[in-house]
Amino acid sequence: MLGGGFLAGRPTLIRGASGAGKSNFALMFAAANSPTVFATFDEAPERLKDYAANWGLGSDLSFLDFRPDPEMLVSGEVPELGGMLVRIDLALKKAGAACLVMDAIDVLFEAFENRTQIRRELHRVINWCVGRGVTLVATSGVDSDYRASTGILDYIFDCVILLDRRNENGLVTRILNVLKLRGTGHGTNEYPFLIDDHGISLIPVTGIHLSAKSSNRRLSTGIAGLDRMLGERGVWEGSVVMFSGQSGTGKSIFAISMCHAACNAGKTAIYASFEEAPEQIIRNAKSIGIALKKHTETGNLNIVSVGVAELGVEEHIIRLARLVDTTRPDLIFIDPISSLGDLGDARLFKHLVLRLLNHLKASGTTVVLTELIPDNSKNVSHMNVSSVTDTWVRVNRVERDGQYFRSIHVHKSRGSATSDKVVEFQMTKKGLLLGDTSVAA
Amino acid sequence: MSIKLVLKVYIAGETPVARRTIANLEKICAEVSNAHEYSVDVIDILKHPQLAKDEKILATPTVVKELPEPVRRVIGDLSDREQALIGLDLVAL
Repeated sequence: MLGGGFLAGRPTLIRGASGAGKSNFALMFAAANSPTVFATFDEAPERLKDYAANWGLGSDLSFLDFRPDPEMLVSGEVPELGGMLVRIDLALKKAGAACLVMDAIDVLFEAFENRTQIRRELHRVINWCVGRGVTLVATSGVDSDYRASTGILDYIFDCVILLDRRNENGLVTRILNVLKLRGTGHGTNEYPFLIDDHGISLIPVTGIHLSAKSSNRRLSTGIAGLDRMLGERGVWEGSVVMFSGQSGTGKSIFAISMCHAACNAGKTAIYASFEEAPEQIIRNAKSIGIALKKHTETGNLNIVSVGVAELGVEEHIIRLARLVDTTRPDLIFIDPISSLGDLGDARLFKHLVLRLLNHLKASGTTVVLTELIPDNSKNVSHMNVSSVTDTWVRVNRVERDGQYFRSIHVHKSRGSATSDKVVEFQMTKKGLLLGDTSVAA
Repeated sequence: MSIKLVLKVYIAGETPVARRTIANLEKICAEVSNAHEYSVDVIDILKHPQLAKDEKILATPTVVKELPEPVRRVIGDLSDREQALIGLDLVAL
């Protein structure tokens, strides 16, 4: 988002309310640019060391304890912060560091009455850092009169990043927004992010350019008839495939068949389910003659089940993206992606799904989604993610002569000579059986 | 029995505030020492950064009363005499 990182040799300010994650960002920066001197105005160095250790970050940080003494008495004119720069200089020299963190500088404005004086002192430190090419990352809290207390603080930094926590329908989302970045372009949107035991994860940002690699290899859906409908040999590797249908039509079974075929072909896959536990999925597959268990045993398949209501949609999406980034599977199945849409704002959902899909595409992963179409929606898809879906298969169920018939048709499939047929199918103990799928010459 | 009074003033350069602080401290000491022996050391942390680190000096001037114990600290130019006496615990001397 910053076009490569914080500005080297320039000052950056990260500000946000308490609990927004400022210190975490500062620690991450410090650990990534070791040696860094970490000056803390708020938390004890021991605590910060613990946080860093929890995330497996390097312990070779040198800390400066700048916490004001709460018992300290002031007599007469409010003092200068003469010790600050002297100790920073000493610590930087000792550590051989060119990076400095000043965590929670707003504490100074509370500890000392003369805010003009504090501003001047901070300005002095910043100028000193700039003069010496020291990269500074400062953090500050925001109170209701942030502007009044800190004055023009934003203006003396070359980069200002705002962190926020938003609570919608009881689900808290962390938001990051780059307010300014002198000299280079930067992402201007608000970006959700996540802090957990792995540290900080930003939601994938793929930028404005579509840069997905395109593959010229095909991947079987595991169903000969469907492969034929898709132009003989299945879908393109690295593409986005979606099976849409109302409840009970058999969407998941198509996804499972495809998953099975891919694993049989030696591919690795993640099957993320928002509805069923891994054991249930394995059992369901078994009922149509598919043995998924062997793939989980060989390690080709990782079935992940997540309760959809447990997390916000941003968090679900970040977790999925991270899982793919860290384990690099050939395919990821998300069953059903539409579950995430129930969590909140429809526009936000679509936006996040598009970002996720772009990110997964850029990494070359084949994505298979299922979409649950509500029964009362007259079989109309509400996901609106068609633009990023390469292959879209619709699964239907119609009543005729006192019996339900299942059918599928290929709604679209980019770069393939597809069948226009609506083909009936049956779920049998030996798998999915499709009717006549021959393509008219 | 004689009580020895040991005070240190940490300054960052010989600024007007630093000079004023030293003068104020000398005046207070002369008044409250009550014929006890006293010493005032002035330490310029610009020249002795290691001492700033050891003593955790953030604000300057910082005045530290090292003896008699307990150690007490006050920041500022000591122009508020009452606060200085309370802060350095020199009232009961």
